[in-house]
Amino acid sequence: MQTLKDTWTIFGAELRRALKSPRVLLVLVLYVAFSAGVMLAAGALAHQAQQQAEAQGHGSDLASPKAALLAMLFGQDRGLVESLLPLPAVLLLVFKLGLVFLPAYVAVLGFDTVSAELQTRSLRYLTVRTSRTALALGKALALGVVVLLLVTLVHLGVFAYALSSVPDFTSAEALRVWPRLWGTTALVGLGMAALTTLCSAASRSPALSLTLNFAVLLAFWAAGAFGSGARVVRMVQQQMAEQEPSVSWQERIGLLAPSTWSAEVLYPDTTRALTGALVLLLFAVACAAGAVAVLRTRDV
Amino acid sequence: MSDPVLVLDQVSKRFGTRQALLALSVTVPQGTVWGLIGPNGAGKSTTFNLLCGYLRPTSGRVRVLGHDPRVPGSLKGVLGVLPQDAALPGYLAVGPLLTYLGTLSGLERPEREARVALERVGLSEVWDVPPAALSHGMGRRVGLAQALLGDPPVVLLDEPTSGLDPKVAAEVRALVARMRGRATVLVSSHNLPELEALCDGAAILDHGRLIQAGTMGELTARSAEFRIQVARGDIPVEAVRALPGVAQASLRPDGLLSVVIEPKAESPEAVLNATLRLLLDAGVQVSGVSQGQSLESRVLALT
Repeated sequence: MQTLKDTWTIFGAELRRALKSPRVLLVLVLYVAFSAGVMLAAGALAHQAQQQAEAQGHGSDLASPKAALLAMLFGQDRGLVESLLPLPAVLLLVFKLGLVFLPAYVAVLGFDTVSAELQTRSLRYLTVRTSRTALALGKALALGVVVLLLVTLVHLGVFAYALSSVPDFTSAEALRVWPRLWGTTALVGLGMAALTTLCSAASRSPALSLTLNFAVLLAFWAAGAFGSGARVVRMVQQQMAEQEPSVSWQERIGLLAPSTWSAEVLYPDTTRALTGALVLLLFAVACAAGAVAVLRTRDV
Repeated sequence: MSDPVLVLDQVSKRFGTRQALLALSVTVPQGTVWGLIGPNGAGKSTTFNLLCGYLRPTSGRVRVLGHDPRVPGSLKGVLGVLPQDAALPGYLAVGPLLTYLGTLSGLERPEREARVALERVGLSEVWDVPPAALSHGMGRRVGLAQALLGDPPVVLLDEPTSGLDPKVAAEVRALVARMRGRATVLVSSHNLPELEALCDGAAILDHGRLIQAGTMGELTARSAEFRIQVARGDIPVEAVRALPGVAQASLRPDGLLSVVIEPKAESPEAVLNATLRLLLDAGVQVSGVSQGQSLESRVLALT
């Protein structure tokens, strides 16, 4: 009970500190600018592709350029591509590319949340007053909430843009798809906030914690790329041989990457989507638990 | 003396290949002001950090009021600490920072306690000032204020007067002296005259080992010898040697008479009084008397 109370106190102080920090504003500007850039580029490309498709008589079927783009972004699964086809391309592009860059934004936001206090030893004023569990959780939660605020702001902007620029995209459709797109990004954001806190708690120097954070993100990216590459190969083999080839160990490596599971959340199959969401949640919990364990074990 | 509040029992700490502490056993009784003394690298900071739970001992047992400092939250409201080299958190102004720390200490009225603590160190006016804008001395006093928040029963101070001007240093010493009996205070310092004046006892460390621990009287051999500085007159050294309770007496050319008291002497003060009476009767003019060695010379001899 005392740990919960202290976690809440630390969360409040850290959140106020983060919201006053110019860095949060900088990351928000970067995130918005990046999303706006993608929106403009994607809007132009989607418009061009739509015109081309209509001229060829494809409309919005699986042979359209949009379907090819979605297959490239989200995998070759026919059911998934079919379910995403009615959605505005701009929304899906910002969502997908946002997921690629979100971990980097979170790392920049919170790499020094613990490490800077370890370096200056100011954490010593806190560890004699509260448990290190409350410290790690309070800091991770505050970072997570800041990330959620950024994600929500950007998603609101992108949805508003899509609603105003894509005539077929209605408010009802927006409300239907919002929980899945925002929820996936939010879960990834929370996981990355916990991972960043873990990396920060593991190193006494902010520079080292940032390096460690990016090294882990690179490893995740490599695992994800390796796994999705192997998956594409398997699906091609499946189409050619008309039989189900077994899942290779290379494809299983992809399961280590959060990006693999964030793609799962978009599947129309509810069980599959919930499994993806659950894995992302477990990833966040495991990283937060890791941050607690590291901070409790280490010398300050 | 009463039950020990701070206990280190056969504590060792190793950093990689470097042995910082080796089988250190020290206890500090309740309500006393105790010093931690030693040259650089003696293990003072390591001992201090072990008691605060910042470090985990390689072996041995550390207890603060019966609590293991490494158990999460065990020191809440129990321990006030002034670390030597820790920067004050810079994300809040002094007042809100102390209020925040008071809340985490579990104080019922943290803001009020923060104001009281700042007042005690004479810095009420810095409530809205960011810690980064404080001078070194003011920062140390704010650090002292956070250590005293809510009057914890145990207070650990690492170099509390370092960087302070003489007037403020004297105020801090007076503040610590007033805590005697109400709190158990451990002071780590290189300022030996300050510790001698302030502390009831001390532990002397060197190369990670305990060299000697005891009351200030025991450490300075206060009851074992005394010195009398003579200003003028012929000193009857042989007569002094013949006094009951005197084991040895020697006279330096500068007029300093050193007297070693027999260990079996019932009252060292009686021997001192008898010696003074003898000298005064012989027409000798005395300009000063001191008992035992100074802590400084004792520490220099031991380390």
